[in-house]
Amino acid sequence: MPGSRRTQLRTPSVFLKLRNTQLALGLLSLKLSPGAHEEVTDSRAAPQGPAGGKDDDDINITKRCEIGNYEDNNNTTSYFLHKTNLKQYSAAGTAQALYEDYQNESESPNPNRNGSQFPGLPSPPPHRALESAKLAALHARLNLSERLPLQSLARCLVDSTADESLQFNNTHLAFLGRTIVNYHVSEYLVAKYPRLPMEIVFAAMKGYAGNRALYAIARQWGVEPAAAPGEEVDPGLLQFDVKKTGTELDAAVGYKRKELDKIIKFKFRRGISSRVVFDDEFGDTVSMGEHERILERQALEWRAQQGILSEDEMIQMEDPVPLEIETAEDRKFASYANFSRAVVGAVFLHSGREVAKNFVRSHVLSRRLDLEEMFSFSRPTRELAKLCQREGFERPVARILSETGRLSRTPVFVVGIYSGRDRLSEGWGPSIEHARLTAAMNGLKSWYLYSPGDDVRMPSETYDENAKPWTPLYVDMGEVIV
Amino acid sequence: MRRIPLLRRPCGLSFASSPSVVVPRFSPQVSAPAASATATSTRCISSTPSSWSRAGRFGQPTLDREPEPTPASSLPPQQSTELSETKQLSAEESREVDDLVQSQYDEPTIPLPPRTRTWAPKQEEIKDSSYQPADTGEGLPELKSTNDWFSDDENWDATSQFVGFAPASDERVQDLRILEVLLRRAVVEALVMNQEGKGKSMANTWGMGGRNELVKALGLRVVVKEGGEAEVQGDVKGVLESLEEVDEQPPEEDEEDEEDKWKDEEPADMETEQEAIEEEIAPFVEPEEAAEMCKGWDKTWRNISLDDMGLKFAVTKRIYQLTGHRIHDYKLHSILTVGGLLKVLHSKPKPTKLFEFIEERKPELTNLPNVKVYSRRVTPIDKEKEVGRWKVIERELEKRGLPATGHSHLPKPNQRAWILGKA
Repeated sequence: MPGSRRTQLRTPSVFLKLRNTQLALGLLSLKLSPGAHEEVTDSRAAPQGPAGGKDDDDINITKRCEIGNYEDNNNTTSYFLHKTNLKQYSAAGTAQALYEDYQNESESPNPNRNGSQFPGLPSPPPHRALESAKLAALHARLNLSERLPLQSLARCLVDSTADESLQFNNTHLAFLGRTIVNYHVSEYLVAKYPRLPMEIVFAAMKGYAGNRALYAIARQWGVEPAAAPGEEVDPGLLQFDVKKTGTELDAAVGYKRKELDKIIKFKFRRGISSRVVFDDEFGDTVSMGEHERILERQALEWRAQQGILSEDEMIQMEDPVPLEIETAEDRKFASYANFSRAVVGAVFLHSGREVAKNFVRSHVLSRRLDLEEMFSFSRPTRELAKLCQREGFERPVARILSETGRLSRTPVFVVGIYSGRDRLSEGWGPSIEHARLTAAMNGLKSWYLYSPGDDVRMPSETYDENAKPWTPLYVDMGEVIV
Repeated sequence: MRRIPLLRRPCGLSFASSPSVVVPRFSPQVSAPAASATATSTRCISSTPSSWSRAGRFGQPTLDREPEPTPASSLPPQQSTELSETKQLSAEESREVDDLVQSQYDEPTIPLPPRTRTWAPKQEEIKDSSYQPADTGEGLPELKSTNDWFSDDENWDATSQFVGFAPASDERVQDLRILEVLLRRAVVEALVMNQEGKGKSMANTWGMGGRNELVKALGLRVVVKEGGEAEVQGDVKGVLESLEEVDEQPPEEDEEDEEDKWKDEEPADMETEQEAIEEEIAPFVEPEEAAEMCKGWDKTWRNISLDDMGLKFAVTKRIYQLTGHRIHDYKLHSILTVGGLLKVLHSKPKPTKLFEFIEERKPELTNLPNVKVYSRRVTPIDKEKEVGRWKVIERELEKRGLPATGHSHLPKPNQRAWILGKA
């Protein structure tokens, strides 16, 4: 909702996001081998896992080497460092719970690899993808190209909470798919609704390409979840664990805010402009190293137990920062969404850019989202007046167009707002005031929801070989500042 | 009562691997006692418990702390290995052995208690100074209870085992070349019986015969006339005798040959001995050898007509005895020549399982990518495994000390015992 704000970066930042997406695409040059993630690993400087993390990966690799011919890179440190089960917990009981978890882990180290509670591989080996009827049916249902092998699709179905190994889960594919999906959705929105306010853009992005939307898409594709991940599970089922924290690679766009802790703790307001700069494509905060924070917290608790806290740490202990809680439902949505994104990523890698674009258009952008329902105004008349002022229209005046039943129990007033001799909008209501406000809101909506048409050209068309020369799109200067 | 001829070795559980169970082909009253002694020693008359010959029989007290073994429990391989080594038994012992063998022919033996009792010596009578009576039961050998005595296979000896007329269904001859050879043998022998006018003996059980008989039968020439009639030429009498010799003493040559065979192959290892014995069992011919034999015959023998019901039945009965394959009556109607019978023998049985049927007849169904064909019933546990829930269920049950599958943790049903009066 547009509140009081000074500056508003809109146009440049959107394209900044788009540009970053392209960078991301270049970064993840099209390999399914594990080498690609090395750069990302280094930039994030993920620390080493607890004892056994590296060995576990090696064991994993050795066992599957014969099939996939994967190279044994020593840089394959798993992102997921925290091996205990993170259940939901409130801020009050965090300390004790965390401490207990930490202690339990150190006393009885988990003999099973990759943090799984059960013996055997954490996810089915690639060759089993050829035996699964469900997987083949899914492949055919999605009308995927023959160039996309069943093994890739099986990999898309393995979430990072099921299998920590980056060589066998869908983390990278999901990252790639996320950038592609968000790129196409954002260019569609910006091109088709050039005057859309930024908040609505964020909401619309979530509506088309957010976790819940992609969850719905995956469910409509007929993807079913496994009860518990493991190597004996049918490769055609989506495998994830709601008790674990996912290790999705954070967005290519966005930065971690310095005051993120306080924002979470005190629920600080984040302005739209700052969101455009710092946050991700959906306007959510980017919290890099969530699991690092958890580990720090654990270490703090342990030190408290040992009695070797510094002063600052003592303060921190008393006033713990509540960690962002990911509920089981959130994890479920995220896992399904990762699968959907991973499929897009796999389509991009195996079939190419054009096919991936068509895939996104047909599955994601074909859905209907009512942008009109998303608006919420406070003082719409003021906003409309400012808009007219900015645009150089005459001062808006509301006039009753028609009315009925003024003295009855159910009056109806139809009010039109005029700028000079031109009617900007009209609205009806049970009272004149109501009708006037409705008319103002309708006027604002009609301004913001202006669209040059469905066949507007999008920047991604320029990738075609025979593309016509590009003419700049009309993108508005931004919302009205009240 | 007519003596039941023992034509085949018993095929019970505990006797499958014991060489001691091969039926002696000779009668106890053999001319040379020395030969018999060696023969018996090497043929491992299994029902002879060594303890009988050693201590118990003559009433000598045993210092052995172990209880006296029963006759049948002395059958375990250790005993027979002992016996199978060439060991000169004393004259007394060999006579006992002969008695036993004779009694085998008289009636089937049931596990009987030992004939004489033995008492363990009292503590004062023991002269061995190193002997210490035990204070606790630890380490002492435990006796089995008598509740399941008769259901324990170890307590039954060879004669109690069922001896079938033909090989069991899992021991049937499967190799097609060997089948052809045995068919030829059966046809020849049936023709021999027919020719010599022994209509009556046709219905009798024919002797199995060993390798020699096989060779003899295959050595006869078969002359096939145009109408499908056949005539056998050669040592017909010899073959006939071997077929009819079931109840009589086997010829000496047979015994000598077999003795020679035993002498030639005297392996120290019991396993190779077992293998040697198994080789000597029907059908007495190797597949490669059979293939060569088949090539040697001309095709006319397949035109021998089996119109004569008596001949047809004789052949099919002999086939059953030799190979274990039963020809269905329904098929007998359509079998008119030996070639037809060979075709039936060579034909594969219909698949009993749907999965096998699909594999053979409709493999394209198994190759469909979105279809999964299971070879056995999909149980609820399979479904849980596919979804990944089974391991969780197992873990939780284990936590609570409950079994995941089976009924062994539940009390056995005792209604049957009540009905039968706790029998």
